[in-house]
Amino acid sequence: MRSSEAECTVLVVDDEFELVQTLREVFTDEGYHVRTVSNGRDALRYLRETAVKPCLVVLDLILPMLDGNAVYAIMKADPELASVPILVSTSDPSRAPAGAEVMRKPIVLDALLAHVERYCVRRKEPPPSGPSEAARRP
Amino acid sequence: MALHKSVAAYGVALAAVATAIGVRLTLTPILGESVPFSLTLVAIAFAAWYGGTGPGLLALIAGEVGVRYFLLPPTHHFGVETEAQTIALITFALLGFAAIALIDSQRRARHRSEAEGNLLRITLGSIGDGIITTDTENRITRINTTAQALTGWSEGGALGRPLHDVFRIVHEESREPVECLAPGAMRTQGPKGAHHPILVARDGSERLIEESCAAIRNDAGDEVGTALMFRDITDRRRQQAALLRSELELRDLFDNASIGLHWVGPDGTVLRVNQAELELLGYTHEEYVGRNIADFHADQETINDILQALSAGVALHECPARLRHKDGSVREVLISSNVLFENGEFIHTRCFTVDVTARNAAAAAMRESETTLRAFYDNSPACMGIVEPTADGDLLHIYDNPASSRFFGAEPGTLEGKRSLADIGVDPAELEGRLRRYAESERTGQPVQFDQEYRRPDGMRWLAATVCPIGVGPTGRTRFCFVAEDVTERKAVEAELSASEERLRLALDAVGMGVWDWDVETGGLSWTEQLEPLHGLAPGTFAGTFEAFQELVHEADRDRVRAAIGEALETSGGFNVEFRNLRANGDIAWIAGTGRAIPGPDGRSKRLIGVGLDVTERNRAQQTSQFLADASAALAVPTDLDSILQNLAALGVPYFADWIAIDFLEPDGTLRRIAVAHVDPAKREVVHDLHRRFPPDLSWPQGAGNILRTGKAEFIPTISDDLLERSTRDPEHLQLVRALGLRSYIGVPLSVRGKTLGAIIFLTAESGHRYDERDLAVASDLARRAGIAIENSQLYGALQNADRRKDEFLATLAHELRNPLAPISNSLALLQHVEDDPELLRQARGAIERQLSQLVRLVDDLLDVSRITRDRLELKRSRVELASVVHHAVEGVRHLYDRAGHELTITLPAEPLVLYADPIRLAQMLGNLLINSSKYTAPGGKVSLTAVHDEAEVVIRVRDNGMGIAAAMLPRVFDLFTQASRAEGRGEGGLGIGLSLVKRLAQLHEGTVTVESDGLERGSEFTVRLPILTAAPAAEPEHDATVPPERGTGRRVLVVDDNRDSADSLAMLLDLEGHETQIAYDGHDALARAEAFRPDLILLDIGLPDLDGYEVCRAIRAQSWGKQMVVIAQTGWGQAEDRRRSREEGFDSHLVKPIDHGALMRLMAASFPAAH
Repeated sequence: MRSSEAECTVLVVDDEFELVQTLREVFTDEGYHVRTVSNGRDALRYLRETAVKPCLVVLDLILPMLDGNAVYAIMKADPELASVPILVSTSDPSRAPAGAEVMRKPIVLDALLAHVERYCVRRKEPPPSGPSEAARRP
Repeated sequence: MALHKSVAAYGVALAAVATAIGVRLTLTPILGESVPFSLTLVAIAFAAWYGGTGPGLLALIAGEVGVRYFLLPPTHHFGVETEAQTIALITFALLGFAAIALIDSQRRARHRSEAEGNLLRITLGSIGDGIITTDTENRITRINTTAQALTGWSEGGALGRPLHDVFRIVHEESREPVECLAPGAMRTQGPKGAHHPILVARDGSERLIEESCAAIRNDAGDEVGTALMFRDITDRRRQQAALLRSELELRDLFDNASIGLHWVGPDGTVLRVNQAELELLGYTHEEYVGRNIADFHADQETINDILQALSAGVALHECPARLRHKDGSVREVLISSNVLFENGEFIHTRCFTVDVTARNAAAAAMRESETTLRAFYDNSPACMGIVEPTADGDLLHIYDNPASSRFFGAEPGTLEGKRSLADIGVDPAELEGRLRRYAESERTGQPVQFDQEYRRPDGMRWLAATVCPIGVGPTGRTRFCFVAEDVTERKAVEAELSASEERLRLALDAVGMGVWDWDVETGGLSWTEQLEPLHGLAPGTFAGTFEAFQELVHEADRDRVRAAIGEALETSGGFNVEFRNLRANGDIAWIAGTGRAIPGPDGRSKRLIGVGLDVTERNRAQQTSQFLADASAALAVPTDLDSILQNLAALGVPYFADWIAIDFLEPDGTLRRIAVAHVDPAKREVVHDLHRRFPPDLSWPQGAGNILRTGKAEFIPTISDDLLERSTRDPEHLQLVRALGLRSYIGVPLSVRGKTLGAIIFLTAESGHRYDERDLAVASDLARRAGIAIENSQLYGALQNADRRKDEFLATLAHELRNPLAPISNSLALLQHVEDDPELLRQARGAIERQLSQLVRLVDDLLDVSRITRDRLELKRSRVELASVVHHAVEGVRHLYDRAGHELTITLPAEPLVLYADPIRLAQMLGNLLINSSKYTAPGGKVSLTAVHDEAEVVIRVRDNGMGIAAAMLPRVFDLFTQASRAEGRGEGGLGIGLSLVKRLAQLHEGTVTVESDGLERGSEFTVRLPILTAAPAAEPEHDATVPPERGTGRRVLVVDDNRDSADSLAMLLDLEGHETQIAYDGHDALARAEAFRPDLILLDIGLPDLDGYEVCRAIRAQSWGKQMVVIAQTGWGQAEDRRRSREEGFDSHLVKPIDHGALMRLMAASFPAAH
């Protein structure tokens, strides 16, 4: 379970609540685990503290407490995190770090899911029939 | 005495006669001659009564004589005269004799009676008994001295008194008066034996007496009195009692002696035996006494020998014998005996029998025990012995077992009597140590144990010894026994163990680690000393229970720690948990607990053992390192100032600080709080709020203001309440700040390009961390990196801007370069067609010249741009007069003004203004300003140039009434490649270099240039301020920039340049000037031609393809013909350094490409003065 979680957890870093909720539901429905944080510092802390790194980080650039560019630079400079795939989502791709994979906002869901599918494995079991994981969480 | 008495009697006789005669003589007158004899007869009778017959006869004779002589007539005559006389004398004699005889017989009877009485008295007195006689009336008639002594009555007092007055007696026991015995009676015996009366003496003293009474009868047998005899028997009584007691005691002793006793008669019959002996042999008295002693002996020979010896009078002493017990067993005894002889006759033996069976058995056991003990002593590996410290500080060996002897290197048994120092040669220091222990043992009376090192030939050995005082020896000094074991090996092991423990301890100390061991069953938790300071406890204060340990864990971590330990216990596995320990002073230490549960036989964990390690520093270092790494990565991101600082603040919390605030100095001099970070968003708001309500006062001696003023870091390891009071404005402010719980503070300057532009404030609160010097270093490093990041970001922004402008510049440049080409091309085409029309030719040539000059200016500007960007612009300064410079500048732009129809007004002060300046650059500067004004002023507009003397400066204003400059544009007017937007459709093109160059040149001349404009379409005014020389113009002649080149006078010139066009055109030009030229395109060719052509002057390019110009120059100078040649460098490099280099390499002069023809002419003129 844990190993599969490692392969199918997407970390969404964005301070836009609506977007985060949407992505959580979509990813859950598609059979991925989702973790969300709303600022760069929490993203970094989660990445450092979790034993199993996410299969993909969807990273906004403009974030409170440590912006996306800094998170990106720190991850790339940290041997433990350098290999975690990052998808930068921004409305201004010119501000994206050089060499980063960029998804222009507003996000096109199909394109995003196609991207996720390249890096992440879906859960083996079907999604729970009851309320989704996202819905259960506060 | 008798003789004396009889002599005296005779004397008395004579004296009596003499007296009688004397008295008769005196009576003669009365009596006459009658009765002459009667008195004398009386004297004779007296003499006979007194002295007996002899003195009587003497008195008779003396009387006869005396009477005849004195009394008978004739007196005094002895002869008898008459018969009467004779008859008288004879009668007298007869009468005398008769009287003597009578008196003597009476005297004798009297004497006898006296003698008898004396004898009786003496006899009575000499008798030891008291005797009292009484008469029939019971009155005392006699009492002898003994009776006197006993009764206390004197004879005189007693005689005649009633007996019972003197002889008072009472009953011995009843004390009742007792009647005196009747004569012949005896005291009856009472039930308690004979009772004697007690005589109470006159003085009250009492004596026990024995009495008897007898009647005194006369010859007729009539009772005339009684005689009472009594004696003091007090002493006898006492002696009798003593004797009796003695006898009883002796018998008791005999009977009850613990030693066996028996008497044996001469024939061997047992006469007497005591209880001890009977008990010894198990017989009764009856069974023993009367039998032959030999019957009881087991060995007949022995008893025979004994009896034989005894009969011979030999006393036996402890003669071993074996007696047979009644039960048949044999008792071993020692018999001591002697014989009581009386008059040589064997009465009986007296035998003492001592049972030594037990003693012998004990002795045997003792011998056995001794043997065992001896074997133990002899074979014991431990050293044992007895020693006695001597008065002189030595140690005397009384006894040593073999092990001890061997230890001291002596043969067994040879140490006795030896002294440690004197004989054995023990080291004095060693002995001193031992003696101290002996003294201690003696003082306390207790055994003392100690370890002592001994030097032996085979090395040092350790003995573990116990010594104990065992009493005092014959010398009066205390003796000690000692038992000692050679523990050298054990010591070595112990030492190794101790060293190992010490190593472990040091290692644990070194890494700040301690070991603990928890017994799950008892709950006891033991740990090594290192753990106490590790957990902030004073030494020895840990209670040693698991509960006490839990108390030390920070509340927030307690559950986590308990869970980790619980899991380890459940699985009998290991655990590894880090937790916080809150110290009394509020500090927080991080401790890593690592351990493992040890299962018991039942598989359940019964022990938990592990180590504790202070990882505060490690964690801190890791966090700091992580923080620095993250900050480095984040700071490397090219972004804006605010993002940089906000990212930095976000990263520092909580790894480096609990609070970070960053203030930045705005251009208007106010502080802007760019970033605040705290773990807790709520607190972050509190700080923001605090900052808004109580903005920091920059004048405070501490804080951001101070950091900005001094550019120095501030460091307060511990924030005191006092400090808070001083740093706050009012009680409310203080309360709010207090509530933050601040502990430690670091403030570091944020410097950009050497200027302190901000401050980063680091504070700790909840973490309890106290900053130290290392943290200060980290903070300073961080601020430095942040400063660099800001600088980079500014540079990056500038670079981006520059990049954009460069793009625009290149586009402009292409355009500008292209513009002159069309007229030139057209003019050239025109030239081909209008060869004959001089006017057209002139126009065409004029057009070409103008366009070419435009191109040259463009290129010159480009080179200047290069110089500006590389900061390589240099001045050739001299004294110049402003008016001539203005004149040249105006000349240079005249054609532009003419063409545009601008009205140019020049106003200069009347007096000359001398500057120390580069005249060409100064003219260029003013020219550029004039061009700029022309460019942005509509045709027909007005431009004025005025110069005024303003104290030490000259102020030059170029003013136009052109299109003006937008306010937003004003600050960037002097930036490189900046131009008014082309989109506005104004302007004359250009590269946007001119004003930058103006500014740079003004700066190089220590001057300034500023611009003012009231806005678009309101014209603009540029103001240049330059310092002027106030001193009078120096002797140095003014350099006239317009001196026309002098004509050459036919020199031989070699032109060397790998750029063929450049070489050819220059050569052609020189040819036109009338010089003889040759051309070389590379270094070798240059050398060959120089040698062959022997030019006066060589214009030598430095950058040549084969040999460079320096090498060529050196080679030429090396030749005799080359020493006098003038060699001029022509190169694109014109800096002072380049000039110095060329001079050193042997060049005479240095010209910078493109070569100014005039300058070359002047140089040639200067080089060949003879030509003038």
